[in-house]
Amino acid sequence: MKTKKELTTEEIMRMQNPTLKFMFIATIVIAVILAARMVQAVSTLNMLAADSGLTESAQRWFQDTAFDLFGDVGYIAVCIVSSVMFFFTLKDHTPFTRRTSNCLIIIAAVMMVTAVFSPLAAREFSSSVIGTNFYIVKSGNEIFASSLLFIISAFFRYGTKLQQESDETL
Amino acid sequence: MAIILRLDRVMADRKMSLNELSELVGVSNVNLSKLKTGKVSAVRFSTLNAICKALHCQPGDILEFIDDE
Repeated sequence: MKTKKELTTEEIMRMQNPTLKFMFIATIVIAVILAARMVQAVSTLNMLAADSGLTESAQRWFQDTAFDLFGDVGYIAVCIVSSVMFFFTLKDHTPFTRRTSNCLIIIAAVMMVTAVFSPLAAREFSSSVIGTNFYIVKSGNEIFASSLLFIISAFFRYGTKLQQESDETL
Repeated sequence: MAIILRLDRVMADRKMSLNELSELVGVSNVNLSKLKTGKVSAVRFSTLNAICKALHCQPGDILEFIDDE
């Protein structure tokens, strides 16, 4: 029985493969679910926009749905980039590549842009369609998560350098 | 790089082929070839130890410092 210290990088990656495969499939499934939710959101918005005398809670529901719709566009992009990242990590047999850190930067940037601009876009859209004049902001978690991802991408950049040094050492 | 590996010279002195050395050291032909041509950035003490043992030489016989400035 081998202890954890004796495991090689290849053995560790082989152990991680089922998790990576699961994450790859999960991101694709989540992207499909988000796309379905977007279709549903569009039909809800159409239904609400057709009604002329909306109450304040219905207006909030409209803007909430618009917020979800614009947010989902960003999160579908995040899911696609994540699935690409998991796919290439499986293929390269190491997560410490330039590609992984670049994918993490893209994910963080897309999340940040989505978190900042989806409430604004939802507000503008609601204002032009049903004439609301309030903001719904609930992007705090996404901003925190994207900041964390920027930091993690820096770890991966350093990891890539260490991996390269390890590969070039005999 | 100022440090040059003189592995080919020592191997020629000992009349040892790359295949024989790779078997004795436990490093693949490809990696030994990289070592010979200086395409590696570092060598582990364990590898150096195995090479010196196989070639019956000192680390100084394999490694050479040339000031490139």
